[in-house]
Amino acid sequence: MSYRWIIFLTLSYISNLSVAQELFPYAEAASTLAKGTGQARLMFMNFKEQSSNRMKYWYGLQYNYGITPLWSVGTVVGVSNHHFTSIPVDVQNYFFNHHLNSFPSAPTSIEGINVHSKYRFYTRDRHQEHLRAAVYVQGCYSFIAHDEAEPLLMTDNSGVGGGFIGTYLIKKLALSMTLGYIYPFAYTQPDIGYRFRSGNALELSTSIGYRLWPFTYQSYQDINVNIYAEFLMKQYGRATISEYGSNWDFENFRLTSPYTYNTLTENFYIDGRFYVQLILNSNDRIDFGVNFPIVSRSFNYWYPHYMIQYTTSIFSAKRRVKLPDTSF
Amino acid sequence: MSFLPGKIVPYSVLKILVYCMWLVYMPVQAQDTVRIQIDGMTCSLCSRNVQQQIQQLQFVKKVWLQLNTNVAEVIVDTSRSVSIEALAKAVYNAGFTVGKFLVPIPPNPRYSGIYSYQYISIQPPSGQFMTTGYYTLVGKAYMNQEAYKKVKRALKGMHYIPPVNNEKILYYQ
Repeated sequence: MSYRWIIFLTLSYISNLSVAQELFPYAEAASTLAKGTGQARLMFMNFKEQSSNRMKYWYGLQYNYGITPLWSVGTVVGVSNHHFTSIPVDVQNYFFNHHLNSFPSAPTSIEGINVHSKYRFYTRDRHQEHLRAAVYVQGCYSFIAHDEAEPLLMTDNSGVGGGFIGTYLIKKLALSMTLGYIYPFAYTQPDIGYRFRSGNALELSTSIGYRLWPFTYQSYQDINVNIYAEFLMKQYGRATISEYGSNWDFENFRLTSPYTYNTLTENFYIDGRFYVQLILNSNDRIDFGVNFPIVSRSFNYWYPHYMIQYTTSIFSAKRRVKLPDTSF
Repeated sequence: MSFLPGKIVPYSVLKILVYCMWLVYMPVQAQDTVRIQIDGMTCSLCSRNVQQQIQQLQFVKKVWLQLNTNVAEVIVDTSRSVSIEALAKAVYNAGFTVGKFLVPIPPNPRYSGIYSYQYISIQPPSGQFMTTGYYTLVGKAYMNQEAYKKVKRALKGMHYIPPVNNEKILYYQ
């Protein structure tokens, strides 16, 4: 079979995809939840810290709620074994060695609580097509001692953030872009006169989604199979560390401990995230995904970075009824 | 012929039976089908949201939603007051837009929120699934912006005064 036939068959297949999907596992689409509808999500991510050969986990429980059709709010509680809840007295020893197997492992603890809100301010709906835009804000209170320059408001850092989301959905393509900014707060530990602040970050994510199955719906019980590719571009500034008021100059770490230096200095990277999603009974979602570096890398985790999440919708309808068959 | 009515079953009993059947049959008849084309929606998860929102309304007996064409067929109980605006708002509350709203001809007097200037048969109702005539509801809540502009242009040529009251309803925002 010549390559022209392969291209033709591929294009034919894509053109026959009846609808696209925008239920992105990583990025948020501009669409908001239906009024009075809740959404609970269990998240699990893990990676192997290659410097220590240890498995690192992050568990999250998220709940979102649609207050109005345009405005939804949500919260995430995260649990992980990524960081210690406080920094030991010998700070420099900690920074040099805590990624190594010789250093005690961080215990599993509650990382923090994230609160977020999204408002859809632009809607252009057409038959099986829409263009929507939304703004979002988020804040996080973290219970752990984050020690990397890259800020994460998914319970790693205390801080605030916000941004814009634009989502375009047409039969064959779902595309979403998110431009966000993160302003982390400093972590302080008065007993050792320690202060750590991650750099500010600017992030741009692009997400594409396709529905592979079914070609045409028969009922709500049809299992949907969707695939997603998401690309995260993130730029962040260097961390500032001080002990009893004097700032660390960690330039010399570049030679003595390059990995520590990389975790503390400014960076720009692009990650590719690839997911398969199953939707069951038009209500429950299961996402499986993996994260690879494309340009540079994130120093908050190691690759490959795996993710599994389960999401279910909770209708708070006054009249709970069994939905009839949808064919007529 | 021993099986003829009146011989086995007295006519009076038959009359009562027919009356009882009519009593049962009447409430079944007190219903209409309203059709809503929903815009901006693609997946079955979205359809489910819309169906749940519509199903909550007291006067709604049943909803079928065609997942591939996104047309909702809503059986409304016309023995109750039927609010067309509530139906449009249910679609909006689910996060979507009414592309086209079709009500049966003639509109049932029990439908609240419909006035004579709010519906018009712009074009003969099309679609093989329609067995009776339907009016297209005119107004921002009942059709998308593009269709609304088309209707306004068509009505202008017919010296028709657009439904001013509906200008205030901006469900698709």
